Amino acid sequence: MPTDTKRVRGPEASQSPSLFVSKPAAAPPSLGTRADGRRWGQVDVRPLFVRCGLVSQAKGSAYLEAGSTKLLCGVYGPKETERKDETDMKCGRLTTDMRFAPFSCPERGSWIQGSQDKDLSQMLHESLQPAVCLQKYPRSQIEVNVMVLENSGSVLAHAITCASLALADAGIEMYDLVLGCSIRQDGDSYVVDPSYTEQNSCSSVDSDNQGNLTVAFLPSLNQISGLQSDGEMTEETLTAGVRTCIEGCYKLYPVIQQALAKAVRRAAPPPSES
Amino acid sequence: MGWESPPGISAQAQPHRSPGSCSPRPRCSRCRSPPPPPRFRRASRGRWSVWKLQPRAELPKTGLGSREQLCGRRDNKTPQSQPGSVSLAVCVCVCLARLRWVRLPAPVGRVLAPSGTRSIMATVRVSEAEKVYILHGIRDDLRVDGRGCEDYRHVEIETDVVSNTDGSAKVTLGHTAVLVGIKADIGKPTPLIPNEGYLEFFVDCSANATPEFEGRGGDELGTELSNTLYKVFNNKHSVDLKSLCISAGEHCWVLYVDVLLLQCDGNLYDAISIAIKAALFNTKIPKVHISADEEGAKEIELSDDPYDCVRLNVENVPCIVTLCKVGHRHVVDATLQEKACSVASLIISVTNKGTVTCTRKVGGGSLDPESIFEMTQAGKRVGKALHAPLMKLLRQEESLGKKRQKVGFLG
Amino acid sequence: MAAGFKTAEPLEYHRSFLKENCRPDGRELSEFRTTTLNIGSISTADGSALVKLGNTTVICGIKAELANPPVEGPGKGYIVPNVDLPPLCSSRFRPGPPGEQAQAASQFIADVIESSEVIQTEDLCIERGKLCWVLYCDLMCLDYDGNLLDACIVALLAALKNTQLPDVTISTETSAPEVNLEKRRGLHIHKHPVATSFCIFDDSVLIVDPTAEEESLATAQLAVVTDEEGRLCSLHKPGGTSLSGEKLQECISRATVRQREIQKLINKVLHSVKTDQ
Repeated sequence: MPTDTKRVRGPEASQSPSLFVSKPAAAPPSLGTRADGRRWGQVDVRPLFVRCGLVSQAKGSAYLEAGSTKLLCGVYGPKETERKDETDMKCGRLTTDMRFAPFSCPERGSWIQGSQDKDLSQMLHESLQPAVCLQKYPRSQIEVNVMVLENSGSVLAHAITCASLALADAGIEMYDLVLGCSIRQDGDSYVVDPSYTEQNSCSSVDSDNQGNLTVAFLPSLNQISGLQSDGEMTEETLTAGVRTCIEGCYKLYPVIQQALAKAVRRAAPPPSES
Repeated sequence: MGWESPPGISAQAQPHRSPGSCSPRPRCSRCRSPPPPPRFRRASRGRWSVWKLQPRAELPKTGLGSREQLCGRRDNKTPQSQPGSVSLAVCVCVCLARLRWVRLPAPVGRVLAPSGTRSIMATVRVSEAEKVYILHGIRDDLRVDGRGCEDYRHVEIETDVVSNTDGSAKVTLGHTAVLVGIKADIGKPTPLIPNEGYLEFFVDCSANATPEFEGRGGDELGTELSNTLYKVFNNKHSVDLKSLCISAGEHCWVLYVDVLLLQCDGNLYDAISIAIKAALFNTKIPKVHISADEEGAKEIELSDDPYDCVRLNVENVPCIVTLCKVGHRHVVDATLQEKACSVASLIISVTNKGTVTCTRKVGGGSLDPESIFEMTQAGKRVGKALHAPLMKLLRQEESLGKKRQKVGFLG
Repeated sequence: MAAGFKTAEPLEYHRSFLKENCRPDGRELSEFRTTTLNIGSISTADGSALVKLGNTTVICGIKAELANPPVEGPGKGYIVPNVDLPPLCSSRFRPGPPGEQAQAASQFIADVIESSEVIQTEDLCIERGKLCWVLYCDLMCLDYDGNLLDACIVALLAALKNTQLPDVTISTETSAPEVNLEKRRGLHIHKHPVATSFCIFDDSVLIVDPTAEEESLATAQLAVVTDEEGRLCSLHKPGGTSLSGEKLQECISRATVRQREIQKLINKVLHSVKTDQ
């Protein structure tokens, strides 16, 4: 591995203390209730806190907190496109960059963007693009930067919601908001909006249905703009999972709408107040 | 535009259709029936089949009786009995024709690629008239090359093509060509799962495939493909990772799966997954013996005998099916032209039991929930049907042993 | 009208304010923006703090890992501070490896840690020559509106004070470390260095806590780091116009006042965090 001369370097190798824990972790919670009190098999998303306009330098920004998952998104642009080689100048370009702060996960991450981050950026791009009216921004690009401050599961789903809110806050013309929701299928039951441990847990039951599913949904157009699943599921489970995610998205919708309305009211107070 | 074809034959096999010209469209009147299982064949020296694009008995007769004959003749032939009589001249001809295909100048016209997409896939430009033509054809379940909506193009597989890998396969799907090599190496298991080996994927987009991949141009597509492959294999049943463990926490086999894209003509995902399955089937991991000396230090001995090896069970390795939404329908195994007409596709990887291991929406458009459900259903149906003939063919090729005729890259 | 003047002649705009001994945002020349501090908000980190200095926001997360001690100091541990300026925080930063400013900031923080002895690396040693802690202090700017260094140092200091390291014992039989995540202890903070940044306008006017715009218009910048005993830990003046010794004395005395304010703030926030629990 090439040495990183642009950062303060630590020792060549270091290990996380969690690898040397003497006592095994607590037993996984039984079916029924989850660690945070929500129930299995129910569309029970974590309470959401969203706020627009926290980054003063960005055109639009949004901060989202769901459980302890914390995300910040900033939108810059539209500005003149950097890549002149693009032949298609009739439409704007949307660029997405999603990264994790090194301290955001239980295991320390690297500063260098890994292939997982790139994959998530790509998924974010594919989920947001159908909602943005790019034809209104010829020869320009819109940059979406998402920073994960704390990863407590369902990061991609919340990043999608947060980014679409930031785009709306930046005044970028859109067809619809994009909402994200994810579930973890485990055997016959599922958990909505899984936490980090739930997402990576593996029940000992050797069941066929086990996996994560993330859906990005345009609520007023009733369109799915992003879909990603891994693990192993039957087709019926997958279909049911997508329906559950859509239901979860509808639960988020009023919260996001309110946050957006609040941001607009703050930016331009109604004439009666002034 | 049109398909390159060996002189004299396929002008009959394929009714000439050119965009813009109002040739009478052959109407397909048949009703929906379950898709015929995709046809695989072993790569063999006389590869006429490449040029005959999935002949279909259902195609309306247009007075070209020869098509029926051609179909019959080809179907009766077994790969082994095919004479290796194609002269070198024809081979060269074939190569030239292919090159020409790739470099075919794009028709001048409006760009129809979905707005603002990254140039992640080798794309072609399609004019408005061509688009309408393709769309109408798909509406009537008849595609430009004569296939139905759920039919694959011709697939050719050859395993054991690269001698210095532990397993390799070359797959051509239409004009898409993919080479997969698998190297087994002894590595350290990840600290979190000490009793399993693991797979590493790397996709190399050769600039041979399309000039867009020159320099770092193919990197983005390469990471996208390899990331998806990780997801496809991220489950307990695809590959028995426990069998790759040598000694828990210390040594395990790491399978480096290297994918090389030789030619892009749409549907890379499916071609790659078939090639990986074939290469995994072909992979021979040497047997190891662990001996401990009196101080407790372990020593790993590799077996010298090339036949003393472990084979992987690939029964559960999934195949990827890419469904392209074109108009109101979806097509399997889209060509680049068809891809240019579609707003979004859905990738589904299906095991032989019909379980889905990975799904992903790609492309710049969005899809209706109902059509996603339809597409998953179709994907499962098509994917499930893919496995049996593929396994049969792989076993057949294996059973040939040394009698197998090697074709290589120019054949 | 004023907005047009500001865009067309930013320097003249600022000068007209400075002439009246005030600044465009209503502050006096030696007045800091409101500083807010949030400690321990990131549960995945061993210690964390978020600092807001006006609009400028910096978050610091500390992760502790185990490693072999350095060969040159078998009784020592490591502190690895890194500052990142992601494209999120301002349009002036590009994605990719850290730029010049981020590299300079990382080096400055590393120098301050070393010269002020905020933590003695000997405290991080678990067993001499065998095992020690590595404290990865990752600082990330979330909103860049000038005065990055002050915000970074405050965030770092607060996060270090918040850090709780798990208990490690070395088993006598296997000589492998055993970690007890439940039993944790805080770090011993020896000194409390605090940075105060100044900008010099037109070779003469000194202003404290510059915004991004003031930074770009200033002719020189200066950062003074002092600890609670009023001792100077570090002084950073990268080029620019010259400064008289008198003025420098002025800066240092302003910095000592600022140090006391910040230390009070950190203690207050730490106290409120403790009483909450």
